[in-house]
Amino acid sequence: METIIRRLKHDKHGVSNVIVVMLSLVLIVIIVGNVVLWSYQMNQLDWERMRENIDIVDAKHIGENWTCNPSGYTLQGSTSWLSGSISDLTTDDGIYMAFRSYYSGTDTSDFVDSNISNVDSSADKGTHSNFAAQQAGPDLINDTLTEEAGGMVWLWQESTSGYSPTSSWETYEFWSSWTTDPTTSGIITTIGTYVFANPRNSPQVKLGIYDDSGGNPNNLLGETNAATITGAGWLDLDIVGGGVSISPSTTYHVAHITDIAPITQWRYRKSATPVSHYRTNRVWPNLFNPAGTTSTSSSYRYGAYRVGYHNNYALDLEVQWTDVDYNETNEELCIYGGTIGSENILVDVWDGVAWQNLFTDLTSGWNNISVSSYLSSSTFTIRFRGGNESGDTTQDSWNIDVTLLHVWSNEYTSEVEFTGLSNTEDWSQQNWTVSSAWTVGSVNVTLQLYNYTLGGYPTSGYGYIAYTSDNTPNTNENKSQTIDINTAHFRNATGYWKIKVKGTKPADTQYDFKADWIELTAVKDNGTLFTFKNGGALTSHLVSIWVNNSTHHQRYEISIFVDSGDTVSYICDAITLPNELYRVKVVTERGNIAVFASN
Amino acid sequence: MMVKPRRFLSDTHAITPVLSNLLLMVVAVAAMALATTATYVITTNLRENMSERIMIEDLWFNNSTGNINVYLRNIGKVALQVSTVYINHTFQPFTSPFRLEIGKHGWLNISYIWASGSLYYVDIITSRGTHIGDYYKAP
Repeated sequence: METIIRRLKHDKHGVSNVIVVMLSLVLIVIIVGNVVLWSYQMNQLDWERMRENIDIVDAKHIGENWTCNPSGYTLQGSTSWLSGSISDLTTDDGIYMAFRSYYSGTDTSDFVDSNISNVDSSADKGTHSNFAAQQAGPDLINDTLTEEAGGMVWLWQESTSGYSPTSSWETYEFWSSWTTDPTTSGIITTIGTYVFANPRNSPQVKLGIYDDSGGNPNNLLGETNAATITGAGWLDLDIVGGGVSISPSTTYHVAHITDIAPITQWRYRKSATPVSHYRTNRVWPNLFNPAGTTSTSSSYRYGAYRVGYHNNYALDLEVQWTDVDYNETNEELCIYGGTIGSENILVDVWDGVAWQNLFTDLTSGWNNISVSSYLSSSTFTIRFRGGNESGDTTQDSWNIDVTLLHVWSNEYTSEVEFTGLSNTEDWSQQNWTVSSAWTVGSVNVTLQLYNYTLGGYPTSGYGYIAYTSDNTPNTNENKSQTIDINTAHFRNATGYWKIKVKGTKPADTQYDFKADWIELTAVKDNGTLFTFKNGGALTSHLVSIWVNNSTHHQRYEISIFVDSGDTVSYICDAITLPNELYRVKVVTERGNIAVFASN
Repeated sequence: MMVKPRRFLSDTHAITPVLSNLLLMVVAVAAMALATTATYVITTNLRENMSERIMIEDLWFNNSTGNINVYLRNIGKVALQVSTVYINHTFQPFTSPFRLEIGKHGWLNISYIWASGSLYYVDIITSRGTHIGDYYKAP
């Protein structure tokens, strides 16, 4: 030892080396110790985690419940009782209380509303004589649809050139004449006279046509209605009664008469032959009476005339319905025709884009056709159209007595309200069930639990179940609903509740509703009871519970210690287990998870 | 007493050993401090890496959002931060930054359009490299 100390005293480098080595060893020991210590701790944590064995033995709702069945019933509408009693509704045993349905169909005749529509942006052609007549009846009061003229052919027309004003104020009636050529024949519908100047006092004028006798007017063949003379130009007036038949190579005369003397002369004259005839001081009531003496102008023609006929009579009249019921099973357009013109009358329907033909002609009496494929909105438009719309020289008319839409659906309904008594406890949940069958398939059924806060039966959500019954008749179906909020809304202050069962079906025959079981179960919630079992050797600290279903994952914070080998029950008021399938998970502080699945 | 300082100052032979010893002490202390700091840093990183534990409490294929929500819990001895999320080995965006202190827990929302009935491998990686992942089948 002395030798070593002596050598160290002499060898100072050796001392330094020893110190450095020692310090390095200390550092290494610190590092390694630290790592080993932490590794030990974390390994212990992992080891404890692996040894932990927690399990959820059970998870169930706890609370009280009360079950009650109907104690009475009320028939709704014209539903009638058929068989069974209210006591048959207490169990789902196939013993029924039956009720018979009643007719609840709709049948509406909707008269046409308007004749001012223009869905095709094309102006109407033709006239209604009395559109209101279509909106009632049939009562033999008709709306006459008359074709409108589309163009004119002038058979004879005098030139308007060469005329000059005249101061002959005393005359009121003038003759002019023309002779048809050898091939001309047919119906003259229109006479025109040329107005050279405004007469200023708005006299009215009528025009007439005569046959010839020795160069003079003889018999009045036709006359027009009166029209007021205003501005200059041709004044064409239709002959009353549809026109005058003319023959080839025959002379005819035309004339006019005014009701008062014009202030300013409106027809001019010119030197021409044949000259005009006139009769002085004629007054309006005399009208066209060719008898008597006429004066012959010395050398003048007074006024200018023309005669012709319409060459394209057409009919295109829209009528329309608004606020139409378009949801019925049967939908027909019905038109009652009176006297129908010889020309066909078409009836078209507007489908939103174009016209589609419904009738190629109408007959006297009812003309009915289904329009279900076109009646898809509250507005419905049809049009009357002439069958010959090209070169039609005959003006036709058709009498329409009634135009209406007949919509109807056959339907039967059964509607019964059941009442029962429960209690006024603080319910956390209620479940109501109706088990029933129908003697026909595919009945539209609504089950409703009366909402006393709402003051009526709900039409959606809680208290409302709607379904279509099985398409096989007499199939028992069980429908139920669980209400877990506002449960007190569905009973009154004394604990009474009402359930209404209503079934409707578009059908032609009656059917029956068979109630098998109606029940309301009220539940008072006292929370959820969980049972945990610690099968491990270490005490487990449970820190959270998860309640998961298909739509929701909910976490609840807890702090429960379960000793090794212990089974612990835990009631949580805040947790309500879902009605559908769910999974409960419990998480330990060490990070283990136990799962419990409902079945 | 007046003589001794003068003698000390005039004795230049004694100064050099003192200064050298002092300098050696300073260097030794500095070296030790550096070594100690390095030791602390090294052991701290190692300790944190070893101490990180994370668990998935719940994974929810959320129908209402169409995304995947993962409820994570820090059961380790250090705070952690999620740095990357892979679904079927493909990086997915998530609500970042997501940091959990010791003993804390919370939802990690992953933006991913899932398909019902499909199987997904969800892998969550912390900033220290810890992986937590498993296979999950969408309902």
